[in-house]
Amino acid sequence: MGSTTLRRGLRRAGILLLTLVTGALLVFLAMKAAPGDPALSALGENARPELVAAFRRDHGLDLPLWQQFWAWISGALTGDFGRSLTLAGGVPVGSLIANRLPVTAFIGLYALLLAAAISLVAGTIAALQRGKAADTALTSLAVLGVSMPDFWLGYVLVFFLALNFPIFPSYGFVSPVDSFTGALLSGFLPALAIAAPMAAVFARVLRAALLDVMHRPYVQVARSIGHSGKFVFVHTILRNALIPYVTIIGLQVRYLLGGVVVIERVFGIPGLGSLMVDGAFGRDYPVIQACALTFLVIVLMTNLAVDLLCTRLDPKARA
Amino acid sequence: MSPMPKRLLEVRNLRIHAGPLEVVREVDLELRQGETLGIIGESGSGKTITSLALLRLLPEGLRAEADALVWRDRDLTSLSDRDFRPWRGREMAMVFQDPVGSFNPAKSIGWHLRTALERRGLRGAWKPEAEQLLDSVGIPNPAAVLDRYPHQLSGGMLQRALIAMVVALEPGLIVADEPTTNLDNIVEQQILSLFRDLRKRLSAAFVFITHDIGIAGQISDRIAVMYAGEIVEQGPAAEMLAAPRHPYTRGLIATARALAARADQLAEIPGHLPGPGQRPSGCVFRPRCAQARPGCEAPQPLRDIAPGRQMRCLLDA
Repeated sequence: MGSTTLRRGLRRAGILLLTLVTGALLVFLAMKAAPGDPALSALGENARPELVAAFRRDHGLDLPLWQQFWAWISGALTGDFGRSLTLAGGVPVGSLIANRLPVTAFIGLYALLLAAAISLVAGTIAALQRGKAADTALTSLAVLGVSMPDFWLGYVLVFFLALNFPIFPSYGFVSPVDSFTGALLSGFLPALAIAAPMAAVFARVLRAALLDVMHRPYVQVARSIGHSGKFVFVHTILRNALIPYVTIIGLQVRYLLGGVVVIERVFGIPGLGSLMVDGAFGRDYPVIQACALTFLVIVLMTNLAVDLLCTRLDPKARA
Repeated sequence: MSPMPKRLLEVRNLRIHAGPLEVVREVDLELRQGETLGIIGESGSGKTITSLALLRLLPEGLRAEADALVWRDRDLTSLSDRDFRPWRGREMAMVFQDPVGSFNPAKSIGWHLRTALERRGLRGAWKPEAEQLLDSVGIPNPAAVLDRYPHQLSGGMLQRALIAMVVALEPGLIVADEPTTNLDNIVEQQILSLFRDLRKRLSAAFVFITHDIGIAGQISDRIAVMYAGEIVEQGPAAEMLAAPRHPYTRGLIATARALAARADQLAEIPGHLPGPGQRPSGCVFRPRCAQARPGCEAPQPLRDIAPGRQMRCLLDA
């Protein structure tokens, strides 16, 4: 038993590392393949050739590709992502990331928790009221939720909520580092805008899973033992429906990050998403690469966490 | 003669509807303490939903009514579903057809036994009793099995564990719905001998549902034969097997004997079971009956033909 667990753990760590290196390589090559010369965009189209050559030498752009990749990746491992080409006179990218990451992590986690809470309630009600008015209403709402683009929903929320209820600011963000309540309030609308389409997907998956489990023979067995309705629902129906539900949440985390990038822009939140967008406009390749790598690590870590959770939930996955 | 054991269950005129269709009608059952009633019938004869109706476990869309459903001198027909719930498990419990599907796949065998014991009211240390229960149904190495998950055990082991769960509840009535249908022959014999052993050990009454008249004869004190949602004949098991009276029962027994003797000519009953919507008027077996005669087109009541024996046929009436 112990040695298989260890083997599985090692295997998983190996796959994780391989994915990380491949992902980093793809990010790096994508930046190299992108049109435009970073030296020219930093110095201007008409820069003197010797200045361009000096810029290339300073930033290691004259080295072979593999050496450039190695320099970047080995730096990144120690937290050194190089310096920004455009922002604040060459501020270290590492410190930019360190400043922005908590904001994005907060908004992302906030959105995920909102989506989980909304979908847990809505999916359960829809399944228990199947075919009745509440189910029809929630299912229609879910279709609407899936079809609404998050940036549009963001503006709608600002328009209807923020302008009527001033406790939700329409623009700007209080960092959770400065004030947690402030962050909860100022982050609510952006998190909701990201959460709504995800909650719609989660709720539909949960509803379908609950309805599937409800008709399994073991639910009838639990009833035949005389367990209360609440016991049967929690330990038998919901417990087994959680497995597909948690799996879909794990799969949706990458869309969550896409939503964060857009919504940070809409609400003017100084997170990783807006940093990446600014970097892209300025052809600031160290910033873009660092942001992409950070997002990659976040996705891999959540996938790992979801994987471990699914293993906890599903004894068959443990075998 | 020893005094008759106390009457445990009496069902009068149970009927089950699926929308406008009557799928089970005029079912009268009686069960005494320690007695085993075998209910025999083909698939679709209504034997399973009859037993589900006793525990109020009918699937959505089916509705049961009865003139009386008396359990230990208390009429349960007036109870709401909510008030009936405590009766389930503690008074009446059920062993289902599909042992593999009967277990919550996310929970260990130990969890299943612990929650059954807690349902009975046990608090505190449950493991010794759970191990003893598993041991009593013939599961080797019970302590290790408690930590297993359903997908790690065979169908036969799971059926034993399910029976242990039901025994843990100490119910007055155990309904077993074709508990060996999904098991192979050797395991089937083992589970049947386990049931015979339980009958001796426990004071519970049993309802044993099967399509196999031979199995019913081995295990039951009395047998009720169901056909197209009706009881067509019931009486003491030995008498019924030795001298079946209803043409359908006779056909069933002749088929079973021919199968057992590996006869070339299978004594089949011609035709097939009518669906709930196509039930003929009068005697439901009439279209397949070789002895149908004038008078059979009238509805047949279940009439007494000997002490403790009834049938729904006008032969010998």
